[in-house]
Amino acid sequence: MNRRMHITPAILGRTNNQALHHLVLVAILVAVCATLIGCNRTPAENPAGDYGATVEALLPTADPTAPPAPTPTATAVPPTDTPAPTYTPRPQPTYTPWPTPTKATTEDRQPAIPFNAQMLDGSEFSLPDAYGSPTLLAFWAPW
Amino acid sequence: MPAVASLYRDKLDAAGVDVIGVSQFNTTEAATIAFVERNQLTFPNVFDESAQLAAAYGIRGVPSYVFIDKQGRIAHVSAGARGVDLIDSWLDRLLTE
Repeated sequence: MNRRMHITPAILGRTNNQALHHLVLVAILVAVCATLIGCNRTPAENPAGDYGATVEALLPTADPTAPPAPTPTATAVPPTDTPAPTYTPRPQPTYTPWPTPTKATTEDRQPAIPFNAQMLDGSEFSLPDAYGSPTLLAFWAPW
Repeated sequence: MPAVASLYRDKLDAAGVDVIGVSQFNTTEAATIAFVERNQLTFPNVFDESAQLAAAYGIRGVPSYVFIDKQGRIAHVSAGARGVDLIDSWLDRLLTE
């Protein structure tokens, strides 16, 4: 009666498919736990967990032992003898409009200034000699 | 001024209107004669070198026209290019007075 007691884990008593199923579940559980633990930890460079502080920490800091930088100051402009420019408005042009002779009567006309002149062709012209017929004085220039 | 010359040839000369051209203001007599010949200005022209006539009649620019009636009085003064129709109408009026 030598009976041997076979003590086997409960898992061994199951089928291979069931064991594989259990192993996969355990692996998933381990992975989830590891992920949760890793996210909860703070990085070594940032023990406080403040990422804004991390950015500031990366910026260069002033050396407390260095002498203070000179404060920029405005340079005073030396006074000059040139007076400030002044503006004097120009006077507005004035004009005297031509009279309107069409509304004037013939009695309002002023006598023409008599003159004598030598024409370019050598002839002589006298305005008083031309009285009795209308005369047109045409002032022009060849430009 | 060529328009005035055309009006003079076509009408004013036959109607007995005296047209006197007065050239002045920054020009020379040679330039005036050349312009008269080139544009066939058949009415008499005078070269007013010192612009005495222009000053006497108060002319301040060209072209300007002074219309003198039969009695030797200034009927109208026109300054600037106003067209030959204005000249024609004024001389018609002076002829009928």
